[in-house]
Amino acid sequence: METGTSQAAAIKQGPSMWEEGRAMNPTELQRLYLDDVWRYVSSRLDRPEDAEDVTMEVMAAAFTRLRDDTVVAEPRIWLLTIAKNKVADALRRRYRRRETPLMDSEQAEGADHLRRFAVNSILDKLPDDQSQALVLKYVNGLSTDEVGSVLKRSPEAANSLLQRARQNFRELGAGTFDLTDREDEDQ
Amino acid sequence: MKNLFDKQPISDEAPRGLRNKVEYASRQEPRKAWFAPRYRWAAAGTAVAAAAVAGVMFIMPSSAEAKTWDMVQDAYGKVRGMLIQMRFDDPKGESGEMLIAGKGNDWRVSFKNSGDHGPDSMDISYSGGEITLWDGGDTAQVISLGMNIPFQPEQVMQNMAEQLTASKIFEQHADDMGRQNIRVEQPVVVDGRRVFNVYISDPDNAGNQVHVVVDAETDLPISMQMQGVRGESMQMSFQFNGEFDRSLLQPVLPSGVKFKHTDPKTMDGEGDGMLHELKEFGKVLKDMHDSGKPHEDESEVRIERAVNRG
Repeated sequence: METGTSQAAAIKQGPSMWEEGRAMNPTELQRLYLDDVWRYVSSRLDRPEDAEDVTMEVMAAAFTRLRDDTVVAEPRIWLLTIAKNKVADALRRRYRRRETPLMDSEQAEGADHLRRFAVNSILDKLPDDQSQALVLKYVNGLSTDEVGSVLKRSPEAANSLLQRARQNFRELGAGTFDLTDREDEDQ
Repeated sequence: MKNLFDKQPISDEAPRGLRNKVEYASRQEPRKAWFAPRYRWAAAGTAVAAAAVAGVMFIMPSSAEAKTWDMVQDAYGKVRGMLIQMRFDDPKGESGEMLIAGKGNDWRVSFKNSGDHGPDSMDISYSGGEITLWDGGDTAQVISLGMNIPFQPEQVMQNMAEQLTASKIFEQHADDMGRQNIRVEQPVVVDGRRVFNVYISDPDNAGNQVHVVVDAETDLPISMQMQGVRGESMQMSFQFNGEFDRSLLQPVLPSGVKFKHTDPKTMDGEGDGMLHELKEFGKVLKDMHDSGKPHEDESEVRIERAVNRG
């Protein structure tokens, strides 16, 4: 179960108030945020079936918490925090099994898939928190402060983390991608 | 950098099948894990349930389920009918019952759990080419299986019997707990039948005791009783090839439950969720059986159950 400070920040005592200022049930939660969770999870896991399983785990954990009367103030941040932990678990399991992610023949044909595969290869080489920060920032579009909330960092620490992540990604991907355009990095 | 990550998700939106499953799970009431007493010696019982569920899962014509079917078909016995009943109680007031009955091509698996978190039930039965799935809700799904879908309950039963032979159970326990913790007595005649008693103690949980009565002729268990050190208990009875009340093969649903007939070819949403539950349920049970020990993280099991409630 999630017990960290980001969870604590997202889970507040008192009336169940959500962004819209009203209580939210599991059905509404999945309707509004399932795609966010999916984008995060499927950005980090190579196999679609793994991504689906982990997304399902994330939503299940969230539903369970809601039914236990957990009150959540920032559902998106809360869900992405759970997703971050579940993905980390899945990647650890993959490492323990020493699985080499494979692209199926259909995937291998697409340039997007090749790029995706290459990006994931680099993310796998980064420290966990750095790859998590990059995905949260550039896939989920979180602000630096929000990245900090998910990763349990202060805004300043999150900013430093993102800078280090970008720098390391750039160095590792130098031979693979054109990473000279820095225009969007601090958006 | 941002452009590089634009195509990083497999897709921008969650796949429809996943969305259906999540949506279905979101609409369910919490279900407490019915198999609460996760003890190593309960592995045999869970193996039975896993095999049964795996058999039910075979109605799903996909490669993933076919793999499970291969597992089920690994071994064969000569059993054509069986009735297995289990009940467990714990000192906190929780109790549960499970029934697995099979005769010829008719099948039924049911369980119900009661406790602090309220009742929890499931009833799955197969008869006359139709499978009836009830998850404790207001509606039971009746799915008509086409003639081209091979569903062979007898083979499931055969496998289950194979898995349940005393030799197999004790072999597993000997590996897990050490032979010195298993005491097998000489056969005696009880009600005209040669049986032998086996007593198992769990070295990791001193005080947990299991007593198994085994039919000396068939090597199949007749009954199993467990007493846990914390006051929990479980009783299982096994009947193979004998006659039993065929009404046990009929689904027993509360009054007011409506039957909804579903074509498996057009099943999505609710049906997807139900079948997903069966698949996951079978996986959890199989994991428990394979490992011979409780799930590593109870909360995860509960999460799986919460998701996969159908």
